Formats: sequence, C-alpha cells, structure tokens
Amino acid sequence: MSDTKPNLFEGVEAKPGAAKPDPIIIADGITRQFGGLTAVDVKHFEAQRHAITALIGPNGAGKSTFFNLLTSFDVANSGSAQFNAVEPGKPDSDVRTIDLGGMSSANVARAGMVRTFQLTKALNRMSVIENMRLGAQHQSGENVLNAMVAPLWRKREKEITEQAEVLLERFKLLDKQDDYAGSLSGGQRKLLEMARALMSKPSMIMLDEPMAGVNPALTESLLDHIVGLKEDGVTVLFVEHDMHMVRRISDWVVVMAEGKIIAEGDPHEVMANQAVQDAYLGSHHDTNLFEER
Amino acid sequence: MDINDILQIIVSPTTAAFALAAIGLNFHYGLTGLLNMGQAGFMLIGMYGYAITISQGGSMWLGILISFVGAILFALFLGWPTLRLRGDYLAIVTIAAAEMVRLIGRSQWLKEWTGGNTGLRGNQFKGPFENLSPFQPARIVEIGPFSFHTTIWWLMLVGWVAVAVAAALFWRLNKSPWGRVLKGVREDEDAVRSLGKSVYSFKMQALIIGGVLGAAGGVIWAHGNAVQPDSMGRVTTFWIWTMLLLGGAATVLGPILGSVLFWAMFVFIKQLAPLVLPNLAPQQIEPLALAFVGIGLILLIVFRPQGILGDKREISLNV
Amino acid sequence: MRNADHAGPKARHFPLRIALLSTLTVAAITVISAVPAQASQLATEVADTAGGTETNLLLQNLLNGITFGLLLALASVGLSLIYATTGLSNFAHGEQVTFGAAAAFAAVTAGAPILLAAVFAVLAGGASGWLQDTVLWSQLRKRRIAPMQQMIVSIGLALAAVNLLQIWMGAQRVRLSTSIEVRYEFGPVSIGPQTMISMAVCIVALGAVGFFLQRTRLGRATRAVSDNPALASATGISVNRVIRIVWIMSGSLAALGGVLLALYENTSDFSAGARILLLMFAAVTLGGLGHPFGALVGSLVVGIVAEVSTVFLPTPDLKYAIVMGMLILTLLVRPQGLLGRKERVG
Repeated sequence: MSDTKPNLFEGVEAKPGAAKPDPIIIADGITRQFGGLTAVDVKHFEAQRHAITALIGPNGAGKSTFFNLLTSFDVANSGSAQFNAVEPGKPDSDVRTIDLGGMSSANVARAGMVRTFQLTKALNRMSVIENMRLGAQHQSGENVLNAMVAPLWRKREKEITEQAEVLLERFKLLDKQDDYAGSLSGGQRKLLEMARALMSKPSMIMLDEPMAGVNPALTESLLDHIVGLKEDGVTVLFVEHDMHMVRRISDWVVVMAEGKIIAEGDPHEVMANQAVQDAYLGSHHDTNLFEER
Repeated sequence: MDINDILQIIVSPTTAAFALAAIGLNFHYGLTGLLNMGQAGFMLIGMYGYAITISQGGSMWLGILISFVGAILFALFLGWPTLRLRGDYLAIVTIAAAEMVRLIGRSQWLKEWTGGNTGLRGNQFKGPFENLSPFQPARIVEIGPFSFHTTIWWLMLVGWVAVAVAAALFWRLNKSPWGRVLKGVREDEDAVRSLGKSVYSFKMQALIIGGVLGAAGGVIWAHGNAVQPDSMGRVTTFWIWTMLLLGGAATVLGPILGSVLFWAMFVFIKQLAPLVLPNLAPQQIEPLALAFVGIGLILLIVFRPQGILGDKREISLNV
Repeated sequence: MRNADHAGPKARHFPLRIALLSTLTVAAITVISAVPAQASQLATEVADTAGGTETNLLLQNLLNGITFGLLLALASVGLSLIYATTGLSNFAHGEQVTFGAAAAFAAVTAGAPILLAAVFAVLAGGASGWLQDTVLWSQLRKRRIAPMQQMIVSIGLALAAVNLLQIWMGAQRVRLSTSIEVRYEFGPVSIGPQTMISMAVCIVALGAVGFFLQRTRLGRATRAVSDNPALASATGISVNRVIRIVWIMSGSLAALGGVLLALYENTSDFSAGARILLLMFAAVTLGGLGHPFGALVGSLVVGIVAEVSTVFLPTPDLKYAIVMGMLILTLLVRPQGLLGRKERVG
C-alpha cells in the first residue's frame, strides 16, 4: 500500500504533538484521572484529514481512554478538543469547526465522528439488516409521532435499506441480512459494526482495536476495508496492538505510553525510535515486536 | 366447577385494565429493557387524576386529560434521576415512588380529595361515563354465557377497544424506526449512542408512553371497581410483570394473552382448590391461588423466559 | 509504625466511624439501662427530680427512630450482603423477616419460652437460607441466569411466600408475648425493657457481623467476593461456599430481625416483613448498595427520619412516604449512597 500513498504528511515534523497541514481533530491539554492515577495526559494532538492514523502503545497506555474522551464516552478532567467537520460531498475548504467539549456522545456521532468498540457491540438480538438501518441518520420515523404514520418514513426506510444492502454486499454479509447479529462469528460482528458505523456517512471513523479477536482469515479483508474507507475519503483513527497491521495500512503512527504521547511519525521510522522501543520493552521484553515480517 | 365464572373474568373490565397496564409495561421492558417496578403507581396516578377531577366537579374529558398528564409528570419525575443510571436503580426508584403515591393517597392528609385509605366510591366519579352509555335502558343483558348490567357492557366495550388501540399502537411503533432505536437501547445503550441517537430521550419517551397506558388501565380498573389505594400496591405491579412474561415480552398480543390467562387461572385455581383440598378454609383459597402466581412466575423465568408467544432468540431476558 | 500504615484506609471510613460512635452511644445507654430494677428506679427518680413525667416528643421520636433503625439494620444487613456477593436485589427478603416472626410464633404457641422461640426462629431462618440457596439460587447461578432475571425470580418467591405465610399464620395479627410493656422514664424519654433488650441484641448481633466481616478469614473472603468474584475465585476462595454462608447468615439475621420487630411492634402478621421491605431497600441503597456497613448507616438514617418526621408532618401516616422520597432524592444527588465508592454507576 505504501507506494500508492499520497504524501499527506509532507513537511510534518515527526515529534509528539506535531501540527498537521489539515487537521480533522485538534486536542489540547486533555487529562483524565481515575482516583489518583493519571490515565491520559495529552498536551497536544492533531489527526490529519483523509489519512489513516494508528494509535499504538503498550497495555494501559491510555489509548482507549483517550478514544473515549474524544468521542465523549468519558469526560475529561481538563482540556479541549475540536472537530473540523466537512459534510460529505462538500469541498475540504468548507470546514465547520465543532467544539467537542461538553458534547454528548450521540451529538459527536451526528457531527460525523463515529466509533466502534474494542468489545464488539453488535446488537445481538436484532437482525443484521436492522443493525445496519439503525446506523442511518435523518430517519424521521425515529420521532415517535412520525413513527405512527408509516407513509412519512417508508421512502427514507427504502433508501436506508438500499444503502445498507450495498454496504453489506461490500462487507460480504448480504446473505446474512436476516440473521440475528448474535449468530454471526466474532469477525463478522466486527465487520457488521464497521459497516453499521458507515451508514451515517461519517467524515471520520474511530476504530477501537478492529483486529482484536478476529480470526486470521478475516484480517486481510478487514485491512482492505479500512484502506477502502480512506479511498472513500473517510478519515480513520484506530487503536491497534498488532504492529504488523499498523505498518501495513497506516500513514501515520502516534505512540502513547503512560497516558502521554511519546512519539509520532511515519510507521517505519517510529518503530525504530528508541523511546518507543523502551516503552514497549517495559511490557513485552520477550517479544520481538519490531522485526520486519 | 363453573366454567361461566372463568369466561366472565376473561372478558371483564379488570382483565382489560390489566392488559392495558401490561401493554404499557411492554413498552418499558419488552421494547426498551427498562425495569419499571412501579406500574401499579402509574395506574393509581391515573385513577386518582381521573376520579378526583370528576368528584371535584370537572368533566370526564378533563379527568382523562389530567390522568394522562399526571402519568407523564410521574414518568418525568422517575426518569429524570434514574434513566442515566444502571437499570436496577430505576427498579428501586419506581417501586419506591409507586409506594409513595399509595402512601400519600391513603394518608389522612389529603382525605378531602383522595378519600384517605378507603379511597373514592364509585358514585363519586362513575356518573359522567355511565351517562354516555348507548345501551339504554339500564338493565341486565344476557348474551350467550355472559350476563352483565348494561353499564358493565359499556365499560367492557370501551375497555377492550382501548386495549385494541394500545395493541395496534404497540404493533405500529414496534415495527417503526422509533421502535428499532428502543430495541437497540435494550441491547446496548452505548452502541446506540455511538450511532448518534439520544438514548436518554428515547428511554424517557418509552417510559411516558407505557406510563400513560398504565394510567388508562387504572381508569378502566377504577370504573370496574373503585379507587382503592391499597389495591394498587407493589404486589399489583408484580402481577402485571407476571402477565407480561407469561404472554411474552416484546410481542404484540403477549400482554393481552397474559392478562387473560392470569385471571382465568386465578379463578380456576380458586374453584379447583376446595375440590382438591377440602380442608382448606375459605379465607385460605385466595392466598393459595396467589401463591401459585408466584410459583408460576419463578417457573416461567427459569424454564420459559420468552413466555408463550415470545421468540426465545429475541428475548432471552439478559438485560 | 503499623498504625501509620493503617491510617490511610481508616480515614476513608469516616462516616462509618460516626455510625459506630452513635451505635456505641446507644449501646452505652442500653447497657446502663438494662441493669434491672434498681437502676430503672434510680432513673425514674432522676426523671422525677428533673421535674415531672413529661417526655420530650422530639427526643422520644429520636430514640424510637434509633431503635427502629437498629431493628431495620439487623433485618436488612442480609439483603445488603446478598446484593454485594451475588448482585441480586432480593425482593423476597421481607418474607424472610416475616418467616422469623412466624417461626417464633409457632414455637411460642407450642409452649416454648420466648428466648427459646427466638433461637428456634434464628435456626429456622438460617435453614431456610441454606435451603433456598441449595435448591434455587445456586442452580440459577449455575445456569448463568442474570441478576435481573434472578430479581424477578425473587419477586415470584416473595409472592408465593407471603401468601403461604398467610395460609400458615392466618390473616389476623399475632403476638409473641402477652406481657404488658412497662415503660421506664429517663429524663425526657421513656423506653420499655423489652425494647431495651431488643436494642442490646441488635447491637450485639450487628457487632458480631462486623467482627465476622473484618476479622475472620471467612468474613474477609466474603468481602473479597463482593469486591470481585472472579478475582476472589482465582485466589482460591470458593465463591459458592461463601455465597451459601451469606444466604444462611442473611436468613438467620432476617429471622432475628423479624422476632425483634414483632416484640418491638408488640404484634406481627403475615405481611410484617413485606411492609418493611421497601424501608430495607431504602436503607441499603441509602447506605450504598452492596457496601457491608451501608445497611447499618442507612437503616439508622431511615429509622430516625421516619420517626422524627412524624413530629413535623401534617399527618403521621406519611412517615414512610417521606422515606421513599428521601430514597429517590439520594439517588438523584449521590447514587452510590452515603458510604459507596464513587464509581461509575451509569
């Protein structure tokens, strides 16, 4: 993939908190304490639009907490973050800056920043197609009064269903559309969750360990899907443990340890960074994480 | 053994009233996964709002309006502190609030309006509704095995029409995008939140709709009996739960079937008990029947949590 | 230096200390007054010299509240322990309390003296706890039935039990003791000997529970299970055995509470426990759901608020409504309860 990569990061300095040419997220001074422990302490963070950014770090580095803070699933003790949204189909210059502070997680999603979860949250006792439909926005039938009058929402429901079928086809789940989501395999549920997130046509998708628990046969197609998202113009930020995957698909890597960003840069260069190696060696001293495969 | 008694209870206003309350609870629990343990409180609010308005000189329509507004306010009052918290908090708050309504209702404090622990007699509020009856002149009318006074026929007609309307409402909303969001909430709130839906607002809407149906059930029940605070204790809520789980949560007809079976079995056991246990004192028969309700509820949860009509895959009760 | 090491965790238990302090104060009053005739005569004399037999309404209600709170604590500590170890909100706990009174009543009717009847009730209560866990709750846990479902099962059990108790005891009120309660006056308040003994028993029993939880191996295992069952299990604690013991304890404590409640109210019936079920839930939630000492603090608060509020309320029959209101308010401002850790409950 690396040879087809347009260089979005030209001139960006490989250092923690580096400024990006066209940041979709800018976060400043984000801290989160649990009891006396500081889980997250990020001075400055920017994510480049249209790029795949990987967030890596040893266990307990605060990656998932940082994710939760950005998506308002958790509340920071201090700091501010902004989301530079661009409506789908609009030029990148048409930026609407949204302050993420104090925003509900639902509103963050509506603004175009949709997430998935480390422990897959497929809605098990709903069918696959209903899971997908739930991801769509602008369905007036979700208003209780409109819901009573089917003609008010049938047309939109049809559009949503068509959109869902296209996505399911792409994620190879179309023949499962009437099954309960709970009957899918772990990997298929990951795919469903990702497809469902795309129903809202987000400008940014945040994937929390998309490969966790997915069997190796499916990881390839999962990787292709993530790269495919980028080709559709969606910005991707993902947390991952598997360095091999990170190196294959990401344009930029941000390394966290003990709640702080300790390094940033091109995937190949970052992994050679001594600080990064030290942070990892602290927890995985007997695994050779950085060997090229 | 008198099969007529069983048939009479099946069509009775009481059965219709409880079917309405159970459909309300189905909105809470079946659709949304909310553990409302105070449905009897909604019924009581409904019947107080209705009966007090009329006994103080208001019209029937104003009574219905106040009854529903009361239920809406009660739902807001309950949901506001708890819908953001873990599910069992709603259970404790609803049961406490329902008990509070009953205790205030039966207190001597507001006796002038509520009638204290004796409640309100039928002649204080039933007039306007009974005057609307199209079945004139007032007399006993026999149709097939059913023999009722015309006012009861009128009440049954209205009661069962209300049940049909409520069931249709459930059917429509259950299959709508709105119902889809609620089912999502029942499965996993955070997932629904991550898809851009305001979970809190949806839960509140479900609580209100189910509560208003409970209030409507209360009004029907009061017409079939009277306003009696002590008939609407938490045990009554537990009955409604049994009905819902018996018929099948998250199904359209489950609550209705549940209410019908509950009351039919109740009368059946009461009739059967003296035949099987001749030594039983008359005052021990009703407790025995109710003890069976409890045992039935345990067996249901353990062996058939989806109830009679439910789909095991969809509703295995893990909230 | 051991003291210094222990200073940290102790400081966090500040509300607990207040509760213990107030409990000790009550205990002191009880022990002093429990010294029979002479002492009480002395007390009456003191009261007389203090000027008349008029009791102070507020202080009297405060004392009644503390008494009732202690009874409630004894009855509800089992509810709290079960919630802490299994996550179950046991709606059948009220019937467990009634069962104690019913068993004691049966023993008294058979000719047993009240003390023996109380012992019998406690043993029967423990046995019922053991039996329940063996035939029902342990099976449900084995089938991995979620706590919410178990809660509905407990509702079914409560419905069945309250009606079976009614068949057993009849609908009328029963009395465990026919002795007429004399009341001794202490300055502005008066109290009967039966009540004083009840309070002393409560304090001893609660103290024993506290000792069990804090100082014994099994008690520490119980606390470990409530903190984190998976971890406790991994460290070699038999979770099911601990839960079985909690059920036995819960059953016997509730039964003892039922007996004392019947003596305190001078009467009992099939719904005596059901009537205080929500007060117990209020107490346990107020103190902090699942917090081992929450039930004690919450119960004292509930008892005192209920009794003292009658002085101010338009009609005294609203006293339990006030408790329900207080419960709702607590969940609004401090959902983790008075003693609960501030954790994410949403």
